[in-house]
Order: sequence, then structure tokens, then C-alpha cells
Amino acid sequence: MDNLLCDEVWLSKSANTFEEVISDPVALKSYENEEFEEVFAVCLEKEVLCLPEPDYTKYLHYNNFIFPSCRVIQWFIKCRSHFNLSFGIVFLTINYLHRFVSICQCNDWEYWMLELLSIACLSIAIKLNEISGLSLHEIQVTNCHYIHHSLFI
Amino acid sequence: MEKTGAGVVVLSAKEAFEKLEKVGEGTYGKVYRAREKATGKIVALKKTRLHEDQDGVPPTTLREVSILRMLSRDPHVVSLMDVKQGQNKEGKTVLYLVFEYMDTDLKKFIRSFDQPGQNIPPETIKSLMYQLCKGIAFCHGHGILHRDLKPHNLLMDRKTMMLKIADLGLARAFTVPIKKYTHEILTLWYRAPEVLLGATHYSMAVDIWSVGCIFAELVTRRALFPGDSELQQLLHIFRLLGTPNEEVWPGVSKLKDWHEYPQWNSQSLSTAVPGLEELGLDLLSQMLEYEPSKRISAKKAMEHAYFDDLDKRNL
Repeated sequence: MDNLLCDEVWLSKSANTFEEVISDPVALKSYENEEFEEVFAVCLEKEVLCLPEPDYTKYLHYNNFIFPSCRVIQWFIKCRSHFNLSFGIVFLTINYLHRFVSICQCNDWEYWMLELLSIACLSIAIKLNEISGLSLHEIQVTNCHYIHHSLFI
Repeated sequence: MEKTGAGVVVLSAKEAFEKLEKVGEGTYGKVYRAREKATGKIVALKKTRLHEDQDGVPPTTLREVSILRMLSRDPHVVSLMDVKQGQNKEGKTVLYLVFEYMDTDLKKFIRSFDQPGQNIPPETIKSLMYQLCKGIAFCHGHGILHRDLKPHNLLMDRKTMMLKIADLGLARAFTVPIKKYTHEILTLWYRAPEVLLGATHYSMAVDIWSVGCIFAELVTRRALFPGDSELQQLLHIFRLLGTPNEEVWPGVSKLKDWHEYPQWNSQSLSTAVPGLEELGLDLLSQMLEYEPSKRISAKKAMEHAYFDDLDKRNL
């Protein structure tokens, strides 16, 4: 894309300025509207690339994945507060997990596999988006039945 | 990474490539020139050791792969072709990032003009600067800060004079509001003053400052601000641009690492960058604005009159 949203002054100023700009959309110049639309289209394109495969929800039900997934999500939320992570980390971790399961759709999942995958997904989300990392051992102490050796993760 | 499927043979890095020579060191690990055996194509292999007993792929490598997959379609960002896993001589796991090969970088290019009075031709400087602004505009337009722009990270093809941004290991996506980032980034010489003064909320403007420093270096063949400590880096900047105050940079005295500094008046940029035309000096001055929000954006830089007479059809 040729346009660049970060021309907007609000990027470098307070959120209040942003709110002011949005509250009066008529004030936006026409080329700024075009830029917003292009940026939005780019974001939508990215989002499609980050979705699980089609019919994934059927797969989840068929393989009794719903309840174990919820347990895992509870653990992510617990980790978030324990390590003071951003909420975005929880969202990303869940997204990574379901994208992986969606791609790999095998039929013999066991809970320990999901637990192992959860640790890996949380670790990757932290590496990509947090300032300081957490070791795989630190991640696991909050709630695992047994410690997985880092080698296997 | 290639998916395994019927009829698809997944080759290990050793089977797929013949290493020809080591050509450098990236943010992590070594970089080799290599030939892909199946096609004869020359590539660059960037090697990362994985320590299985530790925490897996380093964050910088994960970020680089993730970001390059998004950015590689721009002609001014180096193309990541593949990611391969292999083993080294001791049987340890290594990860190879497979890049298109570029035969030189801007640092080597600048140094190749090493005779007194031998300067890089103005039209070459203009073309390289336009490509750099275009590549950075693409990164910023996709929400990516580079954060470590320097001549060594700008790859070039000597024959075509194409320039590509590389080494995105410290790059990262930004979202609104801009989160705090780690402070300890960026090679000193190209580091923006707001970073040196301890700002942890910063934006695309840090890359533009680096671009400005590179611009000056292309003209003079010497680093503009060659500090050897954070304090010396600041003093180099203040000596040329004047010591900032609340008038020229509102909020500067509240930055975490602000102290009392010697008071210098600003000098004309033409004294530091002799030989750059007036329009170039104007563009450079906008890249080296103290206040980050007033620094020119990469997109607006591309539209600056300095580039008006550049033939952009092949860039």
C-alpha cells in the first residue's frame, strides 16, 4: 500500500485527540478517509489469513475439544494475571492454538498433547509481543500436572 | 516451511543447499552464501542455533520470520524464501532462514569510495535514498518499526543499484496506543534522541532519524553522529543541532534520562554535510527534527521536492 496511516498527528498525541478527530468525521479530508479505508482493507486481509480452517467448529464438537479448550483458556487467563501479561497475549495464544489444531486435524488428541501445545503457543505469543520473555519452566509452574521438559516443547 | 504430502520430499538444509562461504554475522548467528542444489540459485542462509534445553527459537528470529512473511512482497524489503531446520556438525539443531542473495550492503558500498575527493554520485545517493524511504514507508504502512536501521542492514545489488531493507530481528509491530518497548535497541550512531533520553513510548519517527543519519553518511562517507557512549551520542547531536529545550521540543526536559547539558547553539546542516544541494538539506533537516511528531514521515519524504528530478519508473 502506498498510503501511510502514521502520517496522522493523533498517532503521536493523546487518545483524547483521537477521540476528537473521530467525533467529527466530516472534518477529515477526503484523502484521509481513503487512507482509513485502505488500512482497514489491509487489516481485514490479515485477519482472514489468521483464521482457522473452514468447518473448524464441527471438528471441535466431533472430537470433544470444547471442554478441554475451556480449561486451557482458564489457564491462559490465570497466567496473564500471574505474570502481568497484556490481555492481547491471551487472545493471541488462543488464536495460535486453534489455528494449529485446525491445520493438524488429527483424530486422536489427548489432553497432555493439548497442554503441551498450550505451553508452546503461550511461549510464542510472549516472545513475539512482550518486552521481556519467560522461560518455559516459569510458564509451567502455575498449573501443570507435570513439568514437560523444554526439549519436547 | 514446506508441508509434507504425498510425493513431496522434504530436504534437510544440508541436502538442499551447498554452502559456499561465510559472508557475515547477523543479529543472531552467521550468514552464508549458498547454492540451492535443485535449482542452482544462489541464496543467503542465516543460521540460528537452537538450544533444545533452553527456550526454543529466539524472539528475534520469531519476529523476523513473522514480519518478513508479511513484508517480503515489497521490492525494497529483502525476500525470505524459506525456513529450514537442520543439524550442525555436533548434531545440534539449527534453523536456517533462506533469503535472496544480495552481493553487498550499504556500509561496504560507502567504504568502496575510499579515495580522497571520491564521492558517491549525487544521482546514486538520490536513488538509494528514495528506495530507502519507499521501503520504510511500506514497513510503517504495515505497522512495522525496524528499529535498527544502519548501512550494514541495507543490502544492495551492485549491478542494478537496488537497495533492500534487511535484518528485521529487532523490528516489531506497533499498535495504537503505542506500547512501551525495550530501551536497549538500535546501534548508537543511528539512534534517535528520544530513545537516548529514555523515552519508552516511541514510534516510526525513530526509523526516520536513522534514515536521516544514513542520508548524511551517503553524502560525506562518514557517520554524522559517531558517539561511543549514550552521553557522547547526545553531545554529538546537540553540538550540531543545538541543545534542545522546551521551546524547540516540548516535553524534552521531562524525559527520564534528561540532565543538564552544555548549551550549544544549532549549526547549519550545510557545515556538517557539505556538498548536499539545498533541497537535500531541507529534507535532511526534516528527518532530523528533534520533536518526533514533527519529523517527516517516510511517505511524505518520498514526495519531497528533492526527489522531483529522479526517474522513479524502475524503483
